[in-house]
Amino acid sequence: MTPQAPTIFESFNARALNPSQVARTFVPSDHYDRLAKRRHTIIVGPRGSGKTTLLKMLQQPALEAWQHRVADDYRLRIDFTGVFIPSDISWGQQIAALGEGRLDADTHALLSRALFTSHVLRALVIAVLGRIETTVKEDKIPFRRVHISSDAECLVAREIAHAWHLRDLMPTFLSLKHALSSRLSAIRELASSEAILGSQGRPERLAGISFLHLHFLQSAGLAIELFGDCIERPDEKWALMFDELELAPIWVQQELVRSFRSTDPRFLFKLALNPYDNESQILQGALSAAPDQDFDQIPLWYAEKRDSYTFCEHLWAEMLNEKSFPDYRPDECLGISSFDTPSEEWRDHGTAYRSGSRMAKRFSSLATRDRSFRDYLKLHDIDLKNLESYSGDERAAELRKIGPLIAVRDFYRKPDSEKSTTGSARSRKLPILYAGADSVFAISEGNPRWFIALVGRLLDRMDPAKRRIAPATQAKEMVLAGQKFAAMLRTIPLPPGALDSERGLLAIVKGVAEFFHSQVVLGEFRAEPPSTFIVDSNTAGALLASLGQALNAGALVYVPDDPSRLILSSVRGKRFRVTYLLAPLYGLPLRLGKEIALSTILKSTDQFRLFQVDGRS
Amino acid sequence: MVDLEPAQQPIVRPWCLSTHLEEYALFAAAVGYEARANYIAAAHKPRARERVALGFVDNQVLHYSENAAWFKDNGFQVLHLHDSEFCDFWEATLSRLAAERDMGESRSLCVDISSMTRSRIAIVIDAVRRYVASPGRTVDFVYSLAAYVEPPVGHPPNTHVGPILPSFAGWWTKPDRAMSAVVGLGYEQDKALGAVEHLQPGEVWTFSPHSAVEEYSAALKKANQVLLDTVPSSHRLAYEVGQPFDCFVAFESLVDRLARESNVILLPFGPKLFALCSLLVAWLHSDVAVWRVSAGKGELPQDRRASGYVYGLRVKFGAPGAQVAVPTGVSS
Repeated sequence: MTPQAPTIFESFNARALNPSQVARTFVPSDHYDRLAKRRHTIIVGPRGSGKTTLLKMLQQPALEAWQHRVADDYRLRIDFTGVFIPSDISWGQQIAALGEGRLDADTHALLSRALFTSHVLRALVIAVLGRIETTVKEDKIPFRRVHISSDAECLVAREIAHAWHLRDLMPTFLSLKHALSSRLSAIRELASSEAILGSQGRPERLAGISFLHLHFLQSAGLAIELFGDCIERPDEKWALMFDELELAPIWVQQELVRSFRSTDPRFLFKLALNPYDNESQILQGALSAAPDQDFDQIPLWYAEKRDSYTFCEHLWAEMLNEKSFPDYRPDECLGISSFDTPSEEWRDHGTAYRSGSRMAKRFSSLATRDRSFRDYLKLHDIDLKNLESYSGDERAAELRKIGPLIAVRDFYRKPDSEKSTTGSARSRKLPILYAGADSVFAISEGNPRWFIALVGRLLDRMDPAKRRIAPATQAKEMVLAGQKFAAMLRTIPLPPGALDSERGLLAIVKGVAEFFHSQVVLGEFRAEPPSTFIVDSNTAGALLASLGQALNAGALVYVPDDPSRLILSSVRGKRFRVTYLLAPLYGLPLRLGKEIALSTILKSTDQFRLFQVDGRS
Repeated sequence: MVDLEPAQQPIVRPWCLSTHLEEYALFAAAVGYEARANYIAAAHKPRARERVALGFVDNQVLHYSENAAWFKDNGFQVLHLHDSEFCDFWEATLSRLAAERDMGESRSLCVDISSMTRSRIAIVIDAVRRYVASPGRTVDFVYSLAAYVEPPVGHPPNTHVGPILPSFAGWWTKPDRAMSAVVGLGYEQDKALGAVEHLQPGEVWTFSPHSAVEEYSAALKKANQVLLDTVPSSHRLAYEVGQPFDCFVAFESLVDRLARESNVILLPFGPKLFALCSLLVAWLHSDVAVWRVSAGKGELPQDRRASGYVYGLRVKFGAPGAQVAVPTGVSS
């Protein structure tokens, strides 16, 4: 029986792993290098792009468990204590459901703040508990540990408990943690009872509950001051690391970004955000901090596929090691991608287009079946019998440019018939076109969760004797990954304002992908068909939020024009492509092509009739 | 004076058509567009002091008018309500019945959930736990299994992916713990898969229904093939729709174990009896969330005829601790 590898989304979900488990397979990247600096940082990326992993790897237990060859270097460089503050969709829904819709907005806000504060303080206490841990397991390397006597702990914990209005507890940090967990329950009960009691007398009742009025930063600041003085390191830095910050109340998001400039110097902020956020617009306000001056921004996606390959190669090596395989090269096991020209051919023959080469065969194959391509060759004076003679000149560059297009067109296009003037598509259940190392890397988008799930399943299906993973196996797993992703896109609820639409997120993305496919496969052959789009001013307003959702989900990939503005409050005027994860489902080339206005795409596809407008709406 | 005493925990018991359809204080059914909406009322004629049929203001299509007329002709009070009005109805009715508890009248209710939406079943459970949960009270939930129809075609976009009601949003006191999802499978193509991928739980458990209507099994397997391929076999459980009590016991014991280590979320697709079980489990484990995935008004009405099989669960209130039982209809 084939061993069960992690599945594409369940598998490597760092949220489900404790810091030590995350450290076991962590592969450092440039992103981590930048995040580990003593700077305020915002990491921006769609779901699965590794935000949670990166933040968790700044926690002390993760750094202690990390065995990578560069781990010691990071343990020397990181001079702050990471406090990881988790969040997820369901927790966000629970905060929204406080009082079950029967509380006024002010009361709900007050209780939400208290909840958030308790959550942050609990995370801070967990970080302190790591610092004062006295036992060191064999496989751990102590990092930022401090010794604190029982008397000193008692003293500090008592002071903190007093400041945080926690009563009747043992003066230890562990008791503080438990008391804060109880407080989270107490806030829910308070919301429930207030919903029943009604508004009469509520201000007096709530004003008298002191813990409701704590401020998370001030309360945390007091605790680290007490702790820092106790361990005689009063200037130590503490990084508050907020995961999925878009799920936090808007006032929290805004206050954190403002804090970049003016807060307690002992705090660093490391914030993880989606690329699209039209609600809080946290970077737009006048009081907002300025990127690069006040904080670093780290994008966790790769508009150009090759930018992710180094990371993918490192991850590949770690996964082989984890599964006790020898150090195979990716192309040894996965083969050469159909979209690439083998380096051996260039090395041995000076060209990848010599007679009999894979590329030459593909060019010939298409030319025999595609009238439009023959016309193109004729117009550009390209002789298929002498392709190798084009080495080194401009037309050689042109051949390289159209190579990936020809691969897709040849694979998906039926031979022209005598009478038809347009091409017709060939159905492909198993898109083996996408097999090969570089294609696997591109399709994973350098997204750690996607990569680990896809490659994990492929390695489980590798024949060790042959050290090969058959193209059909690769294609099958790619389709499976795409189907799962499509099911997830289908599930995401429509944003408010799009409720009259008959189509969900998947239909929007699919429509765009099918347009690009038809441009490459069915229409007249062109060397530069569009494969990216710009959300132009003729795109209906009702569609914008859906596009933002698609971006946050990873279905669309932002091609930034301004690297200093990575978080978008509007998608209008911005350029995107469809994720390569969906390429095997919809037959897309794996390359960043020319852009086209989205409204042009919408006008040409029936299913977008609802979004066809002449102006903004 | 407002009573802030916590409501009593429910004691869930088996319910049997042949012995348990008794004289009720209230029998409530749904007026829906499905042919089966009046099946239990028509075929089994439950006796009750009050009989109501609660309809909808939207989607009054297919058999809706016919069903409404039947209920009216057979002595039911028929109301066409928005969900908010449905909620008000239950609060008012159950608080009134609760006030009558010492009048020597029947203390039992019977609710036919066959043609109710899942969110309406949640509204009923929520109202029951607020107003009925006192010793001696009994609520029977009954369900008419539908004859097989093909799964719905197409995927209208979802408008709601979240807690079935705010009161079933659950509560994480340790948000840093991993999430476990327990998924009741239905036969809509990849719907459960999409929900699982959306939530990204660390652990997934599935419950597959088996029933006397055998055609469902093949359709269910096809619709969930991709999800089932990625869930370890030890996490794939089956249950008999005809034995809802066994399903409840197995479900509750699983959630009890999972909730010690993780934050648990329930995704009840498939037969509405499983949704009922989910809500009862969440009642017993208030930290557990129950979610709903719905296209709302975008969902195309689909007729469902009664298969003739009627099942149910009895919820009692009294001395706690008497609900340990050995599941017989659940297997891995």
